[in-house]
Amino acid sequence: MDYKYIEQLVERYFQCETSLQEEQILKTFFAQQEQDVPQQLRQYIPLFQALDDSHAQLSDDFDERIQELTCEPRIVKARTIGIGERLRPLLRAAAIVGVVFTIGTAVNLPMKSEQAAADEINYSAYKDTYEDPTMAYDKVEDALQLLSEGFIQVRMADSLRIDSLYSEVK
Amino acid sequence: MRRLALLFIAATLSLTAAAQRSFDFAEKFLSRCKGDSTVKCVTVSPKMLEQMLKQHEGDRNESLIQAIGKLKSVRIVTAHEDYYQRAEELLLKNSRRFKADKDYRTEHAHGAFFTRKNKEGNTVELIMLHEDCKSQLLTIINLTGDIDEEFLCFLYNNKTFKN
Repeated sequence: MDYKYIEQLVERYFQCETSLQEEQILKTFFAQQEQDVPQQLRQYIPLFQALDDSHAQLSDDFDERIQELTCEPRIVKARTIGIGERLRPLLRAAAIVGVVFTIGTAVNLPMKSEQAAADEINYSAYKDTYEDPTMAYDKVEDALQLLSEGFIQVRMADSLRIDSLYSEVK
Repeated sequence: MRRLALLFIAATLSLTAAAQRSFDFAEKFLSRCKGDSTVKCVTVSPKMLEQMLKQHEGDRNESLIQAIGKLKSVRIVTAHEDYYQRAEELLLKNSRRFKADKDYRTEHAHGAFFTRKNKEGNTVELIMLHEDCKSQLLTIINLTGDIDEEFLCFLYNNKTFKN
């Protein structure tokens, strides 16, 4: 049997000059039993049989397997994290708390001092009527005497009411 | 950032300026009676009270000295009896600051007590309005200081201070 035509087709196949019909002829030829193929052409059997199986269904995990084979594994580089970097979120939170606390205190402080000032009398504006402490003492004594008499009057008017004043101050 | 800092400083200064010290009732009352020469006020400042306490004289009542030691200031305002109502109205108008306390009425006189407490609840100001119907005179006694139980006890229990 003359296999010259087949040899030519094979040669043209490798030079990419064969038509689809000619490739089909090659596939059909190499699909026969191995012993029917001449010795010098047997080396091409796996190739053309594989081409003939090209329409075979791919398995479901084909893509994954290919990806596994082709993709390089992700390289995770080791990185040293310092104590400063590790504590950074904590420091940020502390800074925010500090800012809020400072603003709160700044707002609250004048309000408190205003309240305290309302309780405190501006004594620096006081001008003494007497320069002599003895005269001032006599006047204070008289004032306290009058106050005491007032209390006594209240007590006399209503002994129960004076007790409630006493207990209220208490 | 600079603007923000300036704004913050301005706000703080304005709030501090607003936080001025207040005056006692006598000062408020006198500001309402400006121009009337019949309204008179005797002021004994904290400084004078200190000087009074330093002077040790044998004939002085010790308990009175102790009571004076609790005071920061004493003011005695005298005016015509017509001012009684004005003073009372002013106190009642400032009812958040001055609380009306007991009052009394006799044949010849009547009066009322008002107190002011600090935020801790301690009495820091005591005001007595007293009208003498005979002399037709109003007397306002305005004390500031530590008007505590001991001080009031002293006033209750002393019929006369003079030795």
